[in-house]
Amino acid sequence: MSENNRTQILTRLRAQCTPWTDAQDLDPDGAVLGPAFANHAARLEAFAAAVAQSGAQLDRAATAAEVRDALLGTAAASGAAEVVVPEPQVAAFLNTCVGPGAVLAQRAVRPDDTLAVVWAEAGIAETGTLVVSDRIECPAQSNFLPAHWVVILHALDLVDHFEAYWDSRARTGQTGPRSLHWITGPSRTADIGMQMQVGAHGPIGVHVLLLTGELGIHDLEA
Amino acid sequence: MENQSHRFDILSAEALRNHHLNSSLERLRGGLSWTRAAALEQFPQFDQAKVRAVEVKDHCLRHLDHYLEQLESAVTAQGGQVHWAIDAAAASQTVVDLCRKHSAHKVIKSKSMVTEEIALNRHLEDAGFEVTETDLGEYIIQLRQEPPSHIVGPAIHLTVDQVAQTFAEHHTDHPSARRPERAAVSDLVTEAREVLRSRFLEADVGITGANFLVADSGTAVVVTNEGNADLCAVLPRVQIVVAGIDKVVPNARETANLLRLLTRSATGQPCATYTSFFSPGGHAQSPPDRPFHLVLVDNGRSRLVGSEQQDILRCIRCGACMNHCPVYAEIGGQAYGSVYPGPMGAVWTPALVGLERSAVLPAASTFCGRCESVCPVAIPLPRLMRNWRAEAHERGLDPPATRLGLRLWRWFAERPGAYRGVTRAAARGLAWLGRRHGYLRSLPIGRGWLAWRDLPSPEGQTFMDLMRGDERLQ
Repeated sequence: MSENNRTQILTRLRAQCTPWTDAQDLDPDGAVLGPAFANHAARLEAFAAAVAQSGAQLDRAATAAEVRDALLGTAAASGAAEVVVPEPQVAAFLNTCVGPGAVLAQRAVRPDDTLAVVWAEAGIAETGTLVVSDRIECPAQSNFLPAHWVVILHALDLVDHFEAYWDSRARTGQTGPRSLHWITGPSRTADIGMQMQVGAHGPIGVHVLLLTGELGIHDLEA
Repeated sequence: MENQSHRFDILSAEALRNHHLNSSLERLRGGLSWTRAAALEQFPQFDQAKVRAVEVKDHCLRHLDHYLEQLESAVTAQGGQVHWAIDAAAASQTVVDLCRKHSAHKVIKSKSMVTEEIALNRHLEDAGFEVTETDLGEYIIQLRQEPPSHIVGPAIHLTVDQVAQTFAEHHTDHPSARRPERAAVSDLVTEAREVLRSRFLEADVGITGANFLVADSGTAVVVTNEGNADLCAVLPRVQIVVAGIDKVVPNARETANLLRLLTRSATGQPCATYTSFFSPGGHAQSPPDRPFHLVLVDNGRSRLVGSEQQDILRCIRCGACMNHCPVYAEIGGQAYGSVYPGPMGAVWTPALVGLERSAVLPAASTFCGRCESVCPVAIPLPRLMRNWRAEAHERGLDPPATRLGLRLWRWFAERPGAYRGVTRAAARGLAWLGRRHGYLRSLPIGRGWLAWRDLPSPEGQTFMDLMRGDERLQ
């Protein structure tokens, strides 16, 4: 059935469409780009402002002690008995920051987990968006199941806008994962009485841990 | 849903009498149009972005055959499967067959207008599958067995109390066992989250729509604020994407501009909470362990390509046209009797179900032009509605009274002397009838109009007479 349908659809379209040639009628350089920031500091401040506008929280950490304080503070505020970290490399990094005897649990995220920590491969300053992808040790659901979602982002991974993100992917030759997610703030809905509520299906709380120093999480991307 | 457009007169009259609906629409009138305006104030490149969006969408439509084949190649190269469906029946049957092939029992869905268009839920349920809508608004109307009233907010027509009542009737096993009088919106959202979480975890197949299909990477782009589409896509063992062939864009980079326009126009957000890009490929847990199917739906779209109605294929389903439509604002979406309500629906529906079953919809417009002015992809909606009206008239599909009225008007319009004579007599007659109060409350014609408002008494002279009088004075 599908093959016959395919033939019918394409036959109809070919009768109306312009034949494809190498001489394109869409200027690839004509795209309207998002805002460009003057320097890294401006980009960072724009990102922080946009994160706040999205309803997420942001902590900056330049040292291991600041990472520990931010993480444990978030865990305490959310009432999490343990901090679930799906990826071993991220768990190792956090262990060095938090120290022994902490509440870290390196395992896959479960549906009833209160708090999970992942790392984002990029942040988009234009909208305060975090970019995460489906990875073997951190499958996509890790970003949607926990009630509170802590995302570690290195400030060097911030880009100005969405187009800059795609350009950076193209430069590194990255192929598409099964799924790639741009996440901006907590899950929300206004489907009941047009009243905005957070926590529709995904995390109720989004907490960004922005690494601004020489901390080693950036090496994880390799 | 079954098309009920031919019942528009009855449905719209019922809607006007529905007090619950009126109070819900009151919130819509102020809400979404205001948030859009506020968002655009922060987005000075809107007009520039709009021009680019039109360029990109028109380019894709000019080369739709090429981009669809490119999309197909990209999906299959990564281990996914593409299925082509010429009409609604073929599309639904394809999804049913896929669910059977994968031995599914439970199916979860995220909000998708094209699956509403092909009545997918009914077909799946008839085939014995348990289907759960997971967008909160869609879930509510699924429980109530109602059609959506808005393409962005399907349950926008319901009050909080009505939703509470619905949950109380259906969530009898939920621990809260809440009664309507105690319901707060936050409690209702939590309740739905808890009920639906188990459905996500138990499902065999997850079905989403797509806001865009990226041709060069074989990617489906899905935008939500709730995160339900993501859970639909990543938790079940089989992923099915159902999308219209009009959704294709050349590459992921071009989606950025379209997304900026979409979210601002729809809900006034600079960015949706979740924008996700799903492809068949990826790491080792992907196919063959997690099959990926893309069902491409035509259902009348290919006939629009190259036609005078082609511009409607640019539509990105933001809903701005309906949020700003004075007709929609009074009657809501369900009165249109069609999956797609409002101005864009008045253009889409005749293409999908035939003008003979929906000729009333393009006529249900004041042609004020707000829909065109707010459209982020510059669809000339009044012109497209006018095209349908003209075709309906040529095919004799408009009501006899309309045809008689138009014939009379044409007869007079072709005879300027008679036209002036009749309008002069009418102006004098109406001025005489309204001489006592200065307004008219009833006339032999226009009863529907005068039932709700008074007509100020005319001056007694026609416009032409007044203009000539001014010229003489000058």
